[in-house]
Order: sequence, then C-alpha cells, then structure tokens
Amino acid sequence: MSTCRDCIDFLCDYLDNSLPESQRVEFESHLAVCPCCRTFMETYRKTVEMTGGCQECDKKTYPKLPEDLIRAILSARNGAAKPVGDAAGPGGAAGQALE
Amino acid sequence: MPGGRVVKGLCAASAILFVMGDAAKAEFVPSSKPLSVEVDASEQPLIEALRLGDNRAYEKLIRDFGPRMLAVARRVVRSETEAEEAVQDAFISAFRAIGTFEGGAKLSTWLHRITVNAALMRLRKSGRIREASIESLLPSFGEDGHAKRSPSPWRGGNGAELSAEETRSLVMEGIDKLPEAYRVVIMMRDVDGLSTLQAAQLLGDTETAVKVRLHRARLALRELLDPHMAEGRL
Repeated sequence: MSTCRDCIDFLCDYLDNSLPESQRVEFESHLAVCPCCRTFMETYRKTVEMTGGCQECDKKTYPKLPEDLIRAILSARNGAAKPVGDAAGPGGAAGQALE
Repeated sequence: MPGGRVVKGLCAASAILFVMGDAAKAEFVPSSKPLSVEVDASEQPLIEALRLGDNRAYEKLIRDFGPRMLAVARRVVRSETEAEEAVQDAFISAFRAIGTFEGGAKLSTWLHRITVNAALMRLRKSGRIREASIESLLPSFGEDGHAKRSPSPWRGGNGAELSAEETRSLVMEGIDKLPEAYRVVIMMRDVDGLSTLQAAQLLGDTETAVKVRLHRARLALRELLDPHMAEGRL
C-alpha cells in the first residue's frame, strides 16, 4: 500500500477496524509519511460523524403524522382485519391496559 | 375519504412486500428477527393488545411510531406523498405480521426495517434506483497513484462552528445531490445506523457491493462538504 490511491481504497475498512493486520500496518506506514492522506482521512472521518449526527437531530423534530393518513391506515385495517379474541375493539380490556 | 387519500386493503400488502434486488426478488416477510439485541418489556402490553386486535392499540401504534417512520421514509424517498404512502404500506405490512412478532426485537427496530423496505419499494417502482456516475466527486490520482491535489484540513471538530441544525442541513443537501443508489446506501448505513448486512439484505445486494457503494458515497459527500468545511473557505 504505497500510494495514496491504495490508502484511500482501504479507508473505510481501516476506520471500521476490519483491515487485516498486514494491510493495517502498511496503511499506517503510508499515513506516517503522507500528510495528504492524514488530512484526507480526518475529513472522511468527520464526514461520517456529521452524517451520523443527522438522525439525532431528526429525533428532536419528528414530523407530525397527518390526521388523514392515520385515519386511512386505520380504515385499511378495519376494512380487512378480523379481530382476534374478546378483548378486541375500543374500550376492550387489552386497550385499557395500554395507558 | 379525508383528503382523497387512498386507503389500501390488507390484501394488497403482499404485493408490496418484495425484497429489493432486481435479480433476486422474493417475498418479504417482516420477521421479528432482531436487527440488534434489544428487547423492551414495556412494549409487551401493546404487542399483546395488537395481537388481540384492539383498535385502540392499533391507533396507539400509529400515533407513537408513525412520526419516526415518516422521518425514515422521507430519508429514502424524496417526495412527501411517497413517504406517506410508504408509511401506509409499512403499517399494513406490520399489521399482517404482528401475529408472528416474537418480541426478539424492539417494535421500533422492527417497524424501522419494514418502513425502509416499503420506501425502497416505492423507489424501485419509480425506477429511480440506478447506478449513476459519481466519478467527478471522487478523488483523482496521478499515474503514480498519488493524489493530484492536497486536501485542506476542515474547521473545528465535527463542524463545531456550526449548530446541529446547520450541520444537518449541510449534510442533507450534500446527500440529496448524490445519485439515488449512493444516497440510499449512505442514508441506511450512516444516517439510520443499519449494519452493512442489514442494508445488504434490504437492498438484495451483497455486503461487499454495499460496502463499496457506501465508501464511494462517503467520498463523494466529503467532496461536496469540503467547500463549506475547509479551513479558510468561510
């Protein structure tokens, strides 16, 4: 792994810790002498971190489910599903246990 | 029907549920096999009520989990209408399979996978998942295999100078510019946190293919973020 191309090809595996030992040693040897690849790896790693942070950010602002969509889903179920057991239906025992 | 929304019948759901690969389509049965080992005992009363067919339980499931499922679907398909339809497809699939849900996974994890599957089906139907070139966004090398240009370091740690919302906007804008096949993989792996194996199963691809596409997607996204993040650029 003596070139930048080789190094960047293995970047994903290196950061996942899935690079075989011999390749990892070669990878790190290249990094030690190549400031370009060190900088590139750092920006690649930050890209992954920033992308991973998006879901956390989304959690704070989950979209509201439109009421008509909720009704449509329930209609689909009520139109075709057959309840099983006596506790089914609004106010059933199982439903009361949910609160 | 409020807002003219199409109500699907449960009988239609089996037609929706196919695993993704063009070459290897097979019926998708929402399995309760865990995506990760997470079991939430507090969900048991809800699961039991769902199995008993309690209408209130179904409404609770939709209201509690629907918003997150819509967020997941939005990340896969681009239009709001398609995202809502994918959520509807996903719930219908889940309703059909709730009897086989064994509690080996959290409900949220199980529904997440069903939602991704439903949204991917929407994408496939629209014919938008194609391999498009992202060569122009990948690093280029000279004949000797060394980088043609030196990358600039990025500002701050993890975009520290940007708020979480600014970072999210920047990343999402970049991801939206990627060809669909790459966008879907990076969304599933790096945003939604699925493993390579899970993404490969949903996409009907090999793990190797997913890994290669993910790496190229990350390289392309890095290139798109670079003008915003490189030191001295802003």
